[in-house]
Amino acid sequence: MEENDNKMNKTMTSPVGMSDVVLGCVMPYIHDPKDRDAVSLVCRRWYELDALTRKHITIALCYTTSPDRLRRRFQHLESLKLKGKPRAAMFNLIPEDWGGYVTPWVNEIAENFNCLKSLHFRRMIVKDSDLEVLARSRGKVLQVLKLDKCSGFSTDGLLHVGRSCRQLKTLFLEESLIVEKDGQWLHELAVNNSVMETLNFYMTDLVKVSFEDLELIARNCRNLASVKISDCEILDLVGFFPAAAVLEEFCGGSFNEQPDRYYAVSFPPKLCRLGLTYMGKNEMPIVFPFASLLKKLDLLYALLDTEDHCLLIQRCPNLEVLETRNVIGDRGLEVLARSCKRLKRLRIERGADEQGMEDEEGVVSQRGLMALAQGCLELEYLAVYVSDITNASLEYIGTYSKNLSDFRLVLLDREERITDLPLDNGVRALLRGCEKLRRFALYLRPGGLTDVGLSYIGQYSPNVRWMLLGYVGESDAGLLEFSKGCPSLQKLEMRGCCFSEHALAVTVMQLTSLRYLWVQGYRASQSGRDLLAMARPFWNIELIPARRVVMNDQVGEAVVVEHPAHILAYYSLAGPRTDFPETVIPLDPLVAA
Amino acid sequence: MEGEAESRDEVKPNVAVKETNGDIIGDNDVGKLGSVEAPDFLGKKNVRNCSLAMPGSGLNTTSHAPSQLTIFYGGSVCVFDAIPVEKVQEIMLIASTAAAANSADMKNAATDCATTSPVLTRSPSLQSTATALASPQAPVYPLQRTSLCKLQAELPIARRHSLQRFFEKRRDRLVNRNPYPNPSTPKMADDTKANLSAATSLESGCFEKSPVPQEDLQPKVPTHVA
Repeated sequence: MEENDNKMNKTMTSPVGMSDVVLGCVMPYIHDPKDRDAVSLVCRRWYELDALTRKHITIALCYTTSPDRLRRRFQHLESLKLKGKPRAAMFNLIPEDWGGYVTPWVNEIAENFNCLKSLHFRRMIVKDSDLEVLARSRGKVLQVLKLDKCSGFSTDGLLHVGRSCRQLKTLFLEESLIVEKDGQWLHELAVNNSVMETLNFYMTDLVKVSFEDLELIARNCRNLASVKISDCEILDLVGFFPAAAVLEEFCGGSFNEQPDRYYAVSFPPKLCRLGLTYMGKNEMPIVFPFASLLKKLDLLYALLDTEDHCLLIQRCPNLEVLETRNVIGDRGLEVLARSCKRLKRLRIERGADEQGMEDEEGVVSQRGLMALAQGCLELEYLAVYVSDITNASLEYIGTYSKNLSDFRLVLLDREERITDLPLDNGVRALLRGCEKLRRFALYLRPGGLTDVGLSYIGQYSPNVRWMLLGYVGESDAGLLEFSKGCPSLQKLEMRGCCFSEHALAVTVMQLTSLRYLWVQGYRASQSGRDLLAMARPFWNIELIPARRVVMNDQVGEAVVVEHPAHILAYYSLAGPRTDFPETVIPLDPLVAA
Repeated sequence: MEGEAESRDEVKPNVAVKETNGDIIGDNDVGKLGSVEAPDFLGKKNVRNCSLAMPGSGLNTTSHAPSQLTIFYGGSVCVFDAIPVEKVQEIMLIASTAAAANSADMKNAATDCATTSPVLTRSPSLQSTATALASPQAPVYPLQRTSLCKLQAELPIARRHSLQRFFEKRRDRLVNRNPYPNPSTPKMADDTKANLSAATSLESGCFEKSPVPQEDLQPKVPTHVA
């Protein structure tokens, strides 16, 4: 026996002298996907062990592989995240029927993925029938279901989920486009589920749900920690809040009554992540009693002006995450810098352009950024729409924001004159100073960054994996210099740039880690075939030709909007798509030649 | 973005209506028309709604003569024979710098660029227009500037869908709350809160126990297209 064991140990010992038993114990502790990727490349046996023990997979674009391939390698998967439409879809730039259908994946999951407990679809098209199949086949074991910015389904589909998925701890529907028939789905959930921890239908337009069902969920689910809902009158939640005893996060709601009526609302004691829709200056004080507990504040859909922001923020010394619009102003940022020393994530979105809808003080500029950089040293994520900018402010960020891993700056186009352009030196200083930077977005205007500045981006972003570049550079030369760097760049998005098809093709071939490219706004070639210089095996190239779309603008008038052409290119092991809509055209080198 | 559609429609010249004798321009009328119209045209500073046809470019040419220049302006058409190419370039330079000067304000860039850069009447990213752009003889700078500004006009900073939706709903709330807003106090006036349901532009459901009967609300149709 012992002899046999020794023999087995010898034959099955991996190159580094570790037995499989040991490896099998160690591997489950390796979680980082890049580490797992490295592990799987060592040898066949390690590849197999990785396949057996890997718990979670994220497929960044669903067309890069197939359900079949996933099953063949990771049949014991417990958690899957799939992304469909390009990120630009969140900005209404991608045709609704572009693709990203979950159906083939759901069918494979129903048949073969017996261990799957957690499913996250992001920017994909989901049908009621998909939800029915999922509920029927995996309903008993499914614990997490996230339909994140998805579309194509109705509340009928959710009925199946509510009825059959009794183990569901997380139901996430945020920003999905859902056809609402009734509120039955929430009732089914309320009646069948007692383990819900996270319920989210924030930023959906589901209003036929009943607050009584919410109350029932709160009473039945003792671990309910996070609830984000659509517009529901806050006063109707007077029964819900006391029942949700361990609630930590609440977003949504609405204020439609006289402000003083809201002072009677008592919030759960552990509430530390909050976002109240349509909250105005007169309702704001209801938050004051527990403002010092707040770790996360969502003011994106509140109705506060600059002064209100100052009054509220100064009461939140423990704030770690803030999301708001640029109505916060430079003054609000200065208060933030003084008061919120633990701030890790800050997102400042663009307010409305319409006259009088936002505060006059609602502009963010270099002044606010400099204060922020100096005051909030723990900042990891910063996304901001600015009205004005200087190189110095970017240098400040490079100097002080040493923990920054995600930086996104958009220069708004309302002001004609910007204090300090081009931003070449500031960008260089920021990239050199923020050594942990993994994600980077810079959206400027013609003249905002020269070709030299663009080459700096290439030169000084060794760890950046994702970039969005808008209106940067001056010519193809800048792009070509840029493409000599960015050694880690996997996903590149570009908009409004002046580069030619040829330069784009060369760039793709030069960026060593690139696996995904999206471009809108480029200099097309005469024949439209210069792009083919990037043709290569496993590289899919798709075009969304220029379109004219009738849309309603901010004041509700119908206008014809021109959508310039897009290029989308990505590595795929599954060959070209087979489900193109009319608006998307594949570029097939063989056909085009 | 909003202004683009209207100005585009104005670009199309209405040749037949304005002619002296109702004829489409033929070669016989060329010289006459040219001598009458030219000084007026060149004197005009505002060159909106003007199409310039580059000789031999294949776009907007109305005859086969290689040195013939045709100008469509404000519903009239002028044809000039035997114009040397340097003169044509000067004329185009004047026209495009006049347009660029008018478009100093970025907000109007959409209108100006769309109408005054006829060689770019379609998106630069469509293939056919690249021919004109790449023409070696045309002065590069003004065209390039207008092409960039055109690019900016066609690619305004995109709005996030979730926020767009919020702005629509906020506007609906304002309209329903205060149908006759005082122009001097455009901000939300909290003291004028009426009895409103939450999502005023959508049907009443359990989330909205509206004391106001539905007929009294004048909901705006949700205005976004997904």
